[in-house]
Amino acid sequence: MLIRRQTDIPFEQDPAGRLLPWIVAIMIYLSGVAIAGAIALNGAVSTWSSGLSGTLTIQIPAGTAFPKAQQHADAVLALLRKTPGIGEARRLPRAEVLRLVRPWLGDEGKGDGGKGNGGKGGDADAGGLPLPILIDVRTAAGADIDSAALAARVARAAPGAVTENHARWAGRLIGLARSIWLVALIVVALIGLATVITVVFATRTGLRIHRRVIGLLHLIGAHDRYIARQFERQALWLSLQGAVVGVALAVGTVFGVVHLAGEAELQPADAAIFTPAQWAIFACLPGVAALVALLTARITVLRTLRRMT
Amino acid sequence: MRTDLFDGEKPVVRFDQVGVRYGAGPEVLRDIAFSLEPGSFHFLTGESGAGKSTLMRLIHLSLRPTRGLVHLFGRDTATLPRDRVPDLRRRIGVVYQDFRLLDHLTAVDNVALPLRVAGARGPDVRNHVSELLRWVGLGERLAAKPPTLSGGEQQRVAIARAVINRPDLLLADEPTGNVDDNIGVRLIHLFEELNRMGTTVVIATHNFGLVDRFRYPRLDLEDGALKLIRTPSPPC
Repeated sequence: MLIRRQTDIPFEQDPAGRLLPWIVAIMIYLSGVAIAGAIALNGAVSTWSSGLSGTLTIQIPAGTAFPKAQQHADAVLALLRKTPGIGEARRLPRAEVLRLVRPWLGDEGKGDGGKGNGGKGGDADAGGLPLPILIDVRTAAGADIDSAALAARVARAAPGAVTENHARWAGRLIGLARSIWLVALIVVALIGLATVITVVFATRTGLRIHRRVIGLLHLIGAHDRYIARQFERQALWLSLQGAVVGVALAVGTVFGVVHLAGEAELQPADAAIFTPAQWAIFACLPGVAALVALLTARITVLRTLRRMT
Repeated sequence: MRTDLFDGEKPVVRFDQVGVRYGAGPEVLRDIAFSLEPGSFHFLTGESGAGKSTLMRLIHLSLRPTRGLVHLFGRDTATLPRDRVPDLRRRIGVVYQDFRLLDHLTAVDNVALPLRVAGARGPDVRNHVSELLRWVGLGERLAAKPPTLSGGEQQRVAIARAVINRPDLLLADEPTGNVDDNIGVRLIHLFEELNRMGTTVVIATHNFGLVDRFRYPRLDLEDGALKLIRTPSPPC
């Protein structure tokens, strides 16, 4: 075919155009990694939050200084069972308490438990240190417990007992996660802005380089929109190429990090990395980048041409 | 394809006391007043530097006069909105002295440019363009790019591009400057054929042999002023 579908403007002579795909690839890679980090953090916080919300831990001091620790524990359990909104309250077995303190005390408390307390679990010494009695409390679904009032009643039933509300910690974690999510969004927005500025620069450079051809097109009767369309298509094509490479590299990085996390036993090997909806965000990135580049090129060309003549 | 060509019987071009100066220099054109009726044929003559190209640029809306009024197809160009200028330019075919071909496009693509700009696409465009290039003697050079064409061949491509969409007004700046006399005569015949179909033609030239031979009225520029020289009888 003699008349090929080609541009009237010789973009292949344009050095700024040659760099654009690489710059977009880097921008999209950074955006992809930022989005992946934000999604992963969000998922981790959701897991922690669902594990901690609706739980309380009551700690009753034990050992020789607290001879009535057993009675106090029984009193607290009785109190909890009568309290509306409490779904479950159970005293943690000694083995579980030892497991919880093992990271700090090692295996020292394993062999001598119960010597000073008649063999009753939970209040035994660990390597000479008294272990408290721990009561794990789970609130009923949808129940709204006044944790301060409950803590006061627990303290009356068992002087020295401490009530820890995990929802407070969960709230702080969620707040932190939201802040990091917001920072990730700002990072993505700044990368988007940098991409827009790059496209503006490349388009203006193209307009200067191809000034003679653009002048001729105008003389032949081309509207600004006709010229803008040629720059739009060029920006769309170059950005799409760069964005696909950037997304591919970002996804590769995600898989690499997940692989390392699996090797470090930070997450199960068969765990899903992202949900389909989250993968869709990555799939949309090249299209979004190309659309942003297209609109940026259009606006830049139309505004510049209006000023030129 | 001709549409709403002459807005009644108004002149295609009308200049009223037009003057042009570049910067703070002297006026290169002064008190230019003339009109071109629809379907007329004129030579534009004058020595080098007399202002022929400047006059062409004024008609083609690529230069604004310093003073006076330029009317094109019955419209005052001083009050013409910017987005209406391309529509008027599409009604004008221009052959530039320096050809202004796009080096990265083939001869066919260069000639098809005004049609593409006007939104025409498809095999009819290709056939039409190829036919015209054959007519101007470039049937074997359809896929050649301008840097590989001789000066005369480039000139014929430029002429084909100017006439491809059958303009209402054709402006040609030295269109026979790089071709031999036979080709020159043939090109003037092409312009005459367009003229017979209604195109108003203005040819700026130094070639007084052609001017004498074809005997069309002359617009003669001298010292920045224009005078109309009518010849006894135009050719048949």
